[in-house]
Amino acid sequence: MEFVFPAIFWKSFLPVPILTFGAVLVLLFDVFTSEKKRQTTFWLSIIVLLFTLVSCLLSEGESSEISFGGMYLFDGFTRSLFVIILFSSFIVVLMSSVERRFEQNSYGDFLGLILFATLGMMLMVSTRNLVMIFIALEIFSLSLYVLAGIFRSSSIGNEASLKYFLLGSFASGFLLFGIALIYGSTGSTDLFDIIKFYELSTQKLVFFLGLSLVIVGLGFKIGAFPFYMWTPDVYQGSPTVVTAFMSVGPKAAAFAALFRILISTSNFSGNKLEMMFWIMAALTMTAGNLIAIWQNNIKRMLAYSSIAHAGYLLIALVTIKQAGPLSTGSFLFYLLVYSFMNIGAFLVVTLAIKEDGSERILIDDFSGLGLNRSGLAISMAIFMVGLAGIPPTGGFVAKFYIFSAAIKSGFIWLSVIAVLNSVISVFYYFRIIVVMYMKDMSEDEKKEQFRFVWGSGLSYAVIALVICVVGTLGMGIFPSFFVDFALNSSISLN
Amino acid sequence: MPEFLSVFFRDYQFINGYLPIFIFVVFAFAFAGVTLLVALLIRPNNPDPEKLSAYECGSPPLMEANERFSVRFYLLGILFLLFDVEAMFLFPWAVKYDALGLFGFVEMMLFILVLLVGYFYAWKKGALEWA
Repeated sequence: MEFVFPAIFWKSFLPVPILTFGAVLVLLFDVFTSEKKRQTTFWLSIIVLLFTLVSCLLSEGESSEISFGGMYLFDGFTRSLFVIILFSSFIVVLMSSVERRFEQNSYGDFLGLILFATLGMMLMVSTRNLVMIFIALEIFSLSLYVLAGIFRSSSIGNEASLKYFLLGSFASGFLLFGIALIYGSTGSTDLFDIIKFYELSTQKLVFFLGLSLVIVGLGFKIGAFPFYMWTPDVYQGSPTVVTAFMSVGPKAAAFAALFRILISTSNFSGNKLEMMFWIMAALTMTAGNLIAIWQNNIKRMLAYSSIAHAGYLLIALVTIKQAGPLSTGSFLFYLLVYSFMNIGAFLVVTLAIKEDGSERILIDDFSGLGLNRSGLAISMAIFMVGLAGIPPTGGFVAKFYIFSAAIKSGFIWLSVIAVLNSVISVFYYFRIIVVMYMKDMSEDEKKEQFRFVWGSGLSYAVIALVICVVGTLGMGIFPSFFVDFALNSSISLN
Repeated sequence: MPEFLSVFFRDYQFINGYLPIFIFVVFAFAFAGVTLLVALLIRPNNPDPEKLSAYECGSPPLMEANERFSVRFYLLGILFLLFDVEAMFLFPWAVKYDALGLFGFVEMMLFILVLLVGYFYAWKKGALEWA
């Protein structure tokens, strides 16, 4: 038997080994050193993430480079998603420095798991093979199941972790069964080969059954309409740092997989899948926005808001066939802006802790924040305005491109529904601003003061907050650079 | 496939390849069932306490098996799995060592290295402490 060595483009593959060994290094460093290591592991993971980011910016991503026989695929789409995922992990690591609840020795585990989850997401956006999609999904899902319950003494965290694990593994089962059926009907798990073999397949029905099961599995991860039930409970129970992390990266990864699958199958699936995603998008955003109105808990509200945003992102997915680069471009830009705004909002929730270290859980707990903690309140207001999609924030530009892609592709009614949903969402986003600025806090709460010291955990989190604010505003005021970047990040068609 | 059977399987062409497996499953169940039935009919039946007690590799059982285990057994089980899976991959690699060459060697070393990291992590976290 002659063993054929697969082609590897080392330059474009470099981010993956760097992050893999970096994550292992962080984990081992934490275990093998004894005291005063919290700062060092923190800096080590920051450095690993920056190295990975630089190495993926070094590759141009002009043309697609296929390594390991399609298992690893690097194109402009991959590159942009790498940047978004690495950026969100970077902010989350900065954010974690302010968290004081880590038990002894669990901070290194946390950082290691964050890096491994990042690796899984990166592998998922850079493959065209269904088996690789499944493995990458498991890498980041398993990390997230543990991360959700990283505070072992928190009963609500344990509940979230267990719920996420049970429902997540159930969804993985759907995905795996779907992959098996697709393999059974076409004889390949490589999306490129599946296109070629589809015409020869005698089992077209089995193929579409498998495809819909795969969509169920991925729809669970993005929190799309019928599969979103886990989102609020898990988002509420997980530590806020982890919630911020799981509201961006996993969605990005699952959407990327959906984009690749939909592009491959769009030639022969007619508009069946398009119709399915049309309905899914409309229901997802409507359900997310309508339920978010009734929430009193800030994290539950943000969870439903993230469901609604998954609905807007699904619009970009619907238009993939007609709008082409505009579809993927608007998706990437929306995701980038969304990661700034959403992580920023969770960052404010983390920073707005009371003096006894407990979080402000209810929306009413935020009353008077505008008068006593003006910096935090202004940032929160900017994120809420951004999430609602109002200029001059990036949220407006992002929505503009997604809706224009929908209108260009002829989905007028879908854009009408989306615009109406944006109007509904203004209610619950602005409710927080109203509570912050038009109600006063109790007297004994007013006394708390931030003591800002350079080099403290707090200062890193404040830097992260400033990055998020600047990003949200910057992409609204000077969007053209990022829009061009997103529109030029073409997805490879083979 | 016999002619008379293909009439029934006409709608299930894609299952044809699985027919041997189906037959195998049927035979497996039939064999087990028939063996038990025959044993039931012809074996002598004179039970005593020794015979009815649970079999624990020859030594007399100390207590009921249905009780709470230390969670460490599960930890040990997971650690065992780590090396069990490793061995499972080592065998085919060893058999095809010449064909896989240097690439296979490097891949395998990477694989073992990753498992070793997990092992050292578990060790340092105190998973092997029994006190």
